[in-house]
Amino acid sequence: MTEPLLDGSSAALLRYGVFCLFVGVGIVFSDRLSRSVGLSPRASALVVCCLGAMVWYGWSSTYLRWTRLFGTALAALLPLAVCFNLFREVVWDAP
Amino acid sequence: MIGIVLDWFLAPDTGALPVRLMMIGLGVLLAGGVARALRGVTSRRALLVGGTLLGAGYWLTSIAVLRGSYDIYAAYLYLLFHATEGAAAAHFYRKVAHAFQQRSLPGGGHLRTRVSHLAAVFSVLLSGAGLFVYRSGVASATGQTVTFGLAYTLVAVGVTSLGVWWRVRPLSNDYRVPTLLGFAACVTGAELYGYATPSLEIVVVLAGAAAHVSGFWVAVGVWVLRGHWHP
Repeated sequence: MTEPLLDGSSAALLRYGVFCLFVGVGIVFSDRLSRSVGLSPRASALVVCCLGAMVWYGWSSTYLRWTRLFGTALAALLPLAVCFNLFREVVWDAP
Repeated sequence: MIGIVLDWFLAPDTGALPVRLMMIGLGVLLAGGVARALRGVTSRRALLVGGTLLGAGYWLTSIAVLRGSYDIYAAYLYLLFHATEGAAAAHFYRKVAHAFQQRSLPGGGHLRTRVSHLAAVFSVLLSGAGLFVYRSGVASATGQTVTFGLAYTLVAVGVTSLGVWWRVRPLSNDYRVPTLLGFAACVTGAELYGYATPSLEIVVVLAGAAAHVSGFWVAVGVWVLRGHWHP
């Protein structure tokens, strides 16, 4: 089960990744919408689904490119943030 | 269960272990980062489902890009951590110099007590590693035999991850433990990663030494400029 994950094609991984991101952003955004605007969960889910479909239809190729870029940037920036905080802890905040 | 996990981790060859460590560490790191960003913004259920999907999504897209160039990512993590190690080494020298001058440690306590504690911890770790190597050759859960090479790799992974964990331990107030564990796994994978060519390996080791020296002198420069030479 894990072999296709780590040894499968990049295109398949990217497709699964973008799908997960799309649904994840939708769930979080729908929750925010229902909490801040006061819409019912079902209505906010519907709004988010419509918006998601529009975004997917209009900008799927751009979205794919930016997702690749953002995913890679996050993979590079998160360890950098941990190291920066460690450096700050050792150099600035050290007694 | 542990045997099955170990077999997946080590199969089909030990060369893949650092890559798997890096990728699993990156997954945990991304999940921790997403959870930290979304905490307080969404409800608990949305955080659980949406956060998991977002973490998985970032992880899969990162793997899709990084798998074409694990060399670069491993070298990046290696250099990043060695620069930080340089600063930590400068801090250690500062503490040692202070301990010799004052004949006491900055955090209190006697030098002899601290040294005996460290010796006890190291002896326990070395005995564990020795026992593991002695027991190597025992068939694991799926019938794969744990060879001496695998035992050595596992001991190297254990010792390296303990060292990285020890270094990032002061950040436990800023980050949750899983995030730091993910970072430790990433750096351990990068430390043990076998590069495509020996010349590339030498270049990365030399660049790591340069990053270590840079981190050391940047830390010293900051202390000198701020006038905080003594801990």
